[in-house]
Amino acid sequence: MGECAAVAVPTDEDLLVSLRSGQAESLGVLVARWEAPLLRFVSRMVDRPDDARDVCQETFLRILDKAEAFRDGARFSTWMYQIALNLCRDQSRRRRRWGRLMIVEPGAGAETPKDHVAPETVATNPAAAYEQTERRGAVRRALSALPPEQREVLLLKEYEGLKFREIADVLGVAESTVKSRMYAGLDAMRMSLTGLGIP
Amino acid sequence: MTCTAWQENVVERLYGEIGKDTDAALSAHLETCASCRESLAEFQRVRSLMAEDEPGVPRVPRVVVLRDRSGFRPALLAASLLGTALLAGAGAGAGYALGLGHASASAALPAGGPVAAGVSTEELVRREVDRRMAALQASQPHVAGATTSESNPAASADHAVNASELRAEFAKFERRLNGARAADLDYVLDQIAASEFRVGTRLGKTNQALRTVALANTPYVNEQ
Repeated sequence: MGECAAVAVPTDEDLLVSLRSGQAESLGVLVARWEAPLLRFVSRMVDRPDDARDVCQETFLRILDKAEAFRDGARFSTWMYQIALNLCRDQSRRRRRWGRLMIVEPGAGAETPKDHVAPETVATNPAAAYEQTERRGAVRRALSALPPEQREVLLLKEYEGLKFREIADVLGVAESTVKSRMYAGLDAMRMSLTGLGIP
Repeated sequence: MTCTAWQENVVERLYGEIGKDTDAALSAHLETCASCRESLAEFQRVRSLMAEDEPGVPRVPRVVVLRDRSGFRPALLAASLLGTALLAGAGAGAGYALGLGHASASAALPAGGPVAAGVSTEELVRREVDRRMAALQASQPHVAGATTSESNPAASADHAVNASELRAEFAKFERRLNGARAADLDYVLDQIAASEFRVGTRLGKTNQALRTVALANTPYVNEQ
């Protein structure tokens, strides 16, 4: 692979401004920066890896199409997550319309998607590794059982590290609403995990 | 269960987004409220479990920058020509199948034996009409003899009338058949045009996106 040259790093917002002025290459840099976090988030929001990839691709296409609509002073990541979230909701709605055929049985379907790189922390002891796998499966099941509005908040906060203010911007709700959804989501997770026998 | 008034503050404390004063007030509250303490501890446990399941970076589809070559693009042109040919072939096949479907539903076209290449459909229909007329004429005396009187002079006149009516019916049917076939073909061509348009739009968009998508660490990769 080529060498990385040390150059001044433009911000996401700078790149979007240059994208708006016709520098289509800027999108490439934005994609390189955000594709992994976005795919990680979207993969948790939709059930199927294929859908997740479609949503990511569509998100970047929308960004390309609607760069003009980006408000000056807004944060690129907030805007991107907004677009992705709306697409995830559309996707889920479409899936629901196709009935229960698409619903994955919690026990069978909660394995790590094959196209995810395994997390770095792998227990060396077989018994510990088994328990870890169990716990991960339980967390995934508990997460996917949450109502979408609670899951969105939890994922954006826990895995994407957004501030409450930013999540409020992404979702277009008040910050206090985000916090109360967060509380409800954590409480539901606590109960689910206890119910699944996770100490 | 946490006291409702403190729920937001518990969440703020959990994620380190709590103001100094609020934090002090929450600490004072926690001194006296066991359920809030328990909630906070439980939520921390949930967080640590979630952190354990933090997904690794998913493999994303690798994309390279295609050098923008304005002007003639033989590969794209060849692909689009091939696609058009396939679509047209499929359309023609479908149109043919639809036409044949109509024909076989209403009347049997020549069957048993390959159709001679170069013979028009009208000619085939005409031949079939003649064949059936001949068969009808051959069987008519026998049928008439078996069902009506054997020496009926009006029978041959009726027969002649029936034959001409039948021929007119066949001609009408042929016109209907051709009409239906033309309508089917129009429909198929419309569908092909619409799907070509959709595919073309999508390809254009994707192509545009692909061309502009770069890898951060390989900014000069080209299609070679």
